[in-house]
Amino acid sequence: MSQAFSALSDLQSRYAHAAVALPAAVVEEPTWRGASIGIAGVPLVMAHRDMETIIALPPLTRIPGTRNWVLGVAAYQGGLLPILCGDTLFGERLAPGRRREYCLVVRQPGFHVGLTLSHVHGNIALPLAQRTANMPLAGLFADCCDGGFWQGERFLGLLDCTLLTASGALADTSASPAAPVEDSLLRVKPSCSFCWGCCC
Amino acid sequence: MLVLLGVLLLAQAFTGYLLWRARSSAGGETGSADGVLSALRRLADGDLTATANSSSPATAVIAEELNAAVARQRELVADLRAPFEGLATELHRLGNSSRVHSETSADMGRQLEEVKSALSREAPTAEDLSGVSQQAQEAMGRHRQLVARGQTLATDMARASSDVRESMQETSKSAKRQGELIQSVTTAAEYIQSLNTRISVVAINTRIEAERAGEHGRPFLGIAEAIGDLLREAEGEGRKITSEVRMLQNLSAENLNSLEHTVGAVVTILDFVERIDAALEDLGHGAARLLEQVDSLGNTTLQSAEAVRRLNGILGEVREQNRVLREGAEASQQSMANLKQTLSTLGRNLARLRVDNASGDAGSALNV
Repeated sequence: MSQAFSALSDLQSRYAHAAVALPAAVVEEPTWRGASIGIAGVPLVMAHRDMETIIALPPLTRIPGTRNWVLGVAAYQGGLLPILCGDTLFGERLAPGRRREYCLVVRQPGFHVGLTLSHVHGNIALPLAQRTANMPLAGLFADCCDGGFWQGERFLGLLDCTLLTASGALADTSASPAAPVEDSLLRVKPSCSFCWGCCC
Repeated sequence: MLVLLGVLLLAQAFTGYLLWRARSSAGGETGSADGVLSALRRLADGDLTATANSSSPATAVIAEELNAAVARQRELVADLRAPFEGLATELHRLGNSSRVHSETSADMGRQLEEVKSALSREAPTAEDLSGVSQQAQEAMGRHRQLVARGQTLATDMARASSDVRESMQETSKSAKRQGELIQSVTTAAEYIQSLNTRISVVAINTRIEAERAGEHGRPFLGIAEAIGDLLREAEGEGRKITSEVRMLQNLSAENLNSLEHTVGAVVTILDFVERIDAALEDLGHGAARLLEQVDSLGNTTLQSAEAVRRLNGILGEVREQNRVLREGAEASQQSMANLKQTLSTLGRNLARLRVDNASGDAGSALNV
């Protein structure tokens, strides 16, 4: 009995010595995933769940009597989609570069609009450790961003459409005497060939 | 002169004869003939101013005849002296003139010596000038050769500059073509960037749809990740291409600008070369004219040297003739001195014959 026990014990130790160790568990750093975009030349990130889609800027029908950041309405998936100028709305200026090519479609309860983008970088994954609530942003960007991420020297504001809705910036689209109505698209001028709309 | 002396001796002898005859015929009339004798004694001494006086009738005629003869002798002596005095005066004048001629000849000889020495000094100078002219001709010949070589070099340089300009123009055309190609590549890079943006949009939309599909959309997540990876690589390469194309564009623009500057510089060089060519041509013409003038100067210098040599020979001949003339003048002066001496002797001899009561013949031209 004891021999059998010792033989088993030897066998156990031999197999324990020759056995391959279990792989170490890799601790993945928690990341945040979203899309990297830009509005009025300001780099932003946005969660995929807040985005309906990104489309090429469709042909527009202008709406008289609206503010200058309302570019018009476009036909989209059998309906009408209001298109807003991100440069004029956020940057409070006309589009500095070439005519914007893409717009972000956002659907919130009672809120379905397209917002022109100055650039589209693609999907991005950022460490959650880099997220911060201190934003070097101002104006409507500061109102609509829920913190952001530092990527090197660059700050990426986390755009939250609920905050945009809550800010009330889109509450009144009627033209005011102080702000001219039209021409946000007409006044754009051609830029250099390599410009993303942020350097000119 | 001897004839004159002979005449005087004959007159003296005739006077003595008359004196002797008067003595022999008068005899005792000694007292009355003293005046005649005294006159005769003075006549014998050569004093033709003596006058015979006699109170005796016998000797009165003799005295008168004697006085008349003496008067005629005085006239004769005066007549004899007059031409000799004129001769002495002319001889004196001739002597003075000969002496002046001799002095003038001596001065002329000295001046001729000075002129000859000056010409002797000038002759080497003319020869040196001729040598310098020859050296200048040689130097001008070398200068013309250098100018001709410079013109050849300028022509070669102009041709080379023209070739460089044509080459630069070709290079400029090539650079412009290169710029067009770069522009085409830039357009392609822009298109690639636009495609990348489209792919980014597709990737984002795929991710959105995958998340919206929930558990069924997980395969789309993988696709979206793969598209994202490809997109990042494409974006990196696209950015690199864009950056390099931009650098290439800048370099091409700089090269084009440099080429234009180089073409401008070559055109300027061509202009300068043309100016240098024109200046060398003017220099060549000037050198040719200068060479002609130097040739003319050399010929003139040679002729001058030859003229100096001939003049030197002529001056030698003139000096020899002047020497002969001076010797002749000296011989003439010697002859005149001898003639003056002879005339002086004659004057002294004639002065022994007193023809007037003056104390002497100090003012006579024969007293030389």
